[in-house]
Amino acid sequence: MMKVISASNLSLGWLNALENLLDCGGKATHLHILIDDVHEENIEIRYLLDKFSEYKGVYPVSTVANTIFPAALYYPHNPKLTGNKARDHLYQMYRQGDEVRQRCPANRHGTYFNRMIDWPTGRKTVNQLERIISRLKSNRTRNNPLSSNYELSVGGSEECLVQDDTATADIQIRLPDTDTSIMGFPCLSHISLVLDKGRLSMTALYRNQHFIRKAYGNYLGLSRLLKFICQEAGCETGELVCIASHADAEFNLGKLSIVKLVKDCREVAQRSQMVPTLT
Amino acid sequence: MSKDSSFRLAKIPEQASIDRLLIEAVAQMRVVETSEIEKEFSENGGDLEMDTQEAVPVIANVESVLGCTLPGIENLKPGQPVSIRALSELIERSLPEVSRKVTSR
Repeated sequence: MMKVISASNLSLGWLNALENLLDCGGKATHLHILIDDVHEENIEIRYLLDKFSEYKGVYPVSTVANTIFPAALYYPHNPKLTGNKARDHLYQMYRQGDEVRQRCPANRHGTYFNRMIDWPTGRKTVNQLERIISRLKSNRTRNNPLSSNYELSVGGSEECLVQDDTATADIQIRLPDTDTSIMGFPCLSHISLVLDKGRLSMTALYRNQHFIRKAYGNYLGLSRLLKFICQEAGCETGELVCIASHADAEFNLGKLSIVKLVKDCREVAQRSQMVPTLT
Repeated sequence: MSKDSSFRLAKIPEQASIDRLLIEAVAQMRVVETSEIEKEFSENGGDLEMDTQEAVPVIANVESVLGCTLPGIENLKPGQPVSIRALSELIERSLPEVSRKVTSR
């Protein structure tokens, strides 16, 4: 049954969602998480989850977030990287590391960011992010919001929808021909962006989302991605919606220890320090 | 990027040369002057930490210069911070093996 959970920041979104999953037996279908503000996270909640992940031998939050947006390679405040140069440099540095990155077994099918900037279309690749940023920039400065230019797709075969001053753009992740793994990459299938009155919001669809190993890092990576697109396109940052077609609290990692983790996170939630999500 | 330039590994570079390659790669990645990274490296007692994401293109850059495949950051000890010193030592340890593979072809 569909469930919608809203929270003021990604840390509370993750915590509220996990509490909800515990209440309904550890698994759910069509779980919607709405995060109002993508600019900050609750650092103590992340710290507790990272400690738990280390104990269980799974990747920390930052590693998961980096597969969606490698924030450490983006230098928007470098005086030598004005205009488009910061994002061009980001793409260049990421591609430079492709061969090294893909030697790691977890990355052998690529990463989410890799698919965003080098989406395979026959013989060539398309930089979906660049197309979206260009589209948003031209859209933002247009006098007549009902221009036919709105109609072009930016992420594949799906058409943009146009309603008054609202436009959508899509990022494709899943390759229907080659992504045949039942359990593995990619779990994130699609990202949709909506520009409404100068404010850009994002919806991400996961076919399957693991709430201990992945969800927090997913939210962090998506928040950073949304902030990056907004910064480059000159839009105001809107909300993030994450839909898990199937959500899993991962009781296989130890139900009692997960219950304790949630309890500990709830205790620190009120007093924890907030930090920027793009650091 | 060609990895078949065995002549480049005819002589295994010393640690200082590997440090230098890493410093240049970090400067190129961060789009700053090499002297800035050198200064930071020196002021920090001959080391400079970097993000794991930064280390990936840095290793790729050094691989391109040396013409061989180097170990990735997954070969660092668990919990060991990623830094120029850590990468330099990792590369230095791996080069005799890399060189042996190249020369035995």
